[in-house]
Amino acid sequence: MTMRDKTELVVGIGKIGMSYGDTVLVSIGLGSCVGVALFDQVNKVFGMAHIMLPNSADSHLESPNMTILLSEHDTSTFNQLKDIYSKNEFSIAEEAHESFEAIRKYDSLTMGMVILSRYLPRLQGVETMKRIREKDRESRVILISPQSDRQSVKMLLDEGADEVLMDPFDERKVVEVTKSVIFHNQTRFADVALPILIYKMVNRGARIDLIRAKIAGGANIFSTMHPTDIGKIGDRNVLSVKAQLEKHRIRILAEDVGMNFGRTVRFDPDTLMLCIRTKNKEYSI
Amino acid sequence: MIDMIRLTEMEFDALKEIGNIGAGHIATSLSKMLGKDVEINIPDTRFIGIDGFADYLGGPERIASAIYLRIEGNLKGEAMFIFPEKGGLELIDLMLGKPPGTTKSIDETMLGESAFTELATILTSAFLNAMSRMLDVTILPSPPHVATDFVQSLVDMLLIEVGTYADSFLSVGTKIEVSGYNINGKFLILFDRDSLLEVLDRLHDKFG
Repeated sequence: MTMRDKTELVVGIGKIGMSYGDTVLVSIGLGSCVGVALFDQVNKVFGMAHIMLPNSADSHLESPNMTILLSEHDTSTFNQLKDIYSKNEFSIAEEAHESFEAIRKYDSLTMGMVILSRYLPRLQGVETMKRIREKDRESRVILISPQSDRQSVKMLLDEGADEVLMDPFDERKVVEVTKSVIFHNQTRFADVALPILIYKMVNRGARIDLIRAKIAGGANIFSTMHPTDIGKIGDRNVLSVKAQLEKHRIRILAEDVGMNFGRTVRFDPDTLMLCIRTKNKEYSI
Repeated sequence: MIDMIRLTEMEFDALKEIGNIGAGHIATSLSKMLGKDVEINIPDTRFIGIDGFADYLGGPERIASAIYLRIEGNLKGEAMFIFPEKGGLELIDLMLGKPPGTTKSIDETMLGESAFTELATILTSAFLNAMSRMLDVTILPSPPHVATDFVQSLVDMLLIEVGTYADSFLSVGTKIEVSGYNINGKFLILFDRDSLLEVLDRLHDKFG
């Protein structure tokens, strides 16, 4: 099957996307933006980030509220999670132990962030999630699943969960995965997007030491501009992406960055090649 | 953070009026330059999401020619002229008095690029002059920069500032269409965050 015949997932500006190898990941028309393809070819988990800005320190976006509704019937699981969250600057605004209580208490949340047990009594997690979404399409939902295998994680994500937490819990994973949902609208910044993408991939079965990267973009399209901050935004994006990858010890296998032309990139999970299209040529790295 | 969506209807109308007046001045200038009586006055001021901006301008992977410039002075922001590639070339032909289809690439001749830049400078000035008279402020365009590339790659530049504080923004501008020709482009201004507040202040002072 050639790349042209495969389904494509277009990762919009400032967004991230993932695939299990059945989908080609695409970022269209990268100018000063940088496209980052991450892949663990052994476990077949693939991701792409379409980075717009280098650093969230420049952000004036409203900072997300770290309060959540925790809905879990099993006392020991509930307490474990509550413990992890309190230790890590999250606050549990509401608690629920069955579906209808969760649906009712959702209304009192200032930010629509819910954590639901997959086996929540009365409706189960997935149905409870769907009822909450009927009230608020923008609600963010994490499902808790015991001892998940990859298939059931995939199934829960396909049902519409934003993320899945696996019991028994790994504290760091719980924190990163929850943050990834809370900070979903800040993935335009390299220093937010890449940690989120990496942990989402790990949560889908990737091993962090097996992840490799290919990057492209970061051009200076209006090449006559003076090298002021704004003119050099492409370079700053590339530097920030590289710093993040280095921090997570992810090796860059290939790069095509800078210069003064736009690039559309397609990452093919079968060949691990990043195909680059410019306004007048096409090549792969 | 300014929640720009919460502009009052009056404020939004006043901002649209800036666009209308600016568009009128662009129309007049372009008619004079081309020596043709052309119908090109189509104001277009609206809120656009960052992720929908390229679609608004014809699609992310479409090739277009654009002129980008910073606006300095009492009000700060960015302005862009953007024409689908073919339209930009016809515009150059029209300016140089050649039959449509003569110029094949904007950077094939220095003449094409400088004609394009010249046009942008004049039209931007027309728009900004109208705006500065209306709001009683000094507005200075910086030197223009030209590029031909994917629409998304061109507009990345405009989204850097707005991307730090919002998911959508106000674009004040006009469509540019020359009847009888295949020329359809857009001119738009994005004010910096503080400048948009300044514009609103001045509109309140003027119109109460």
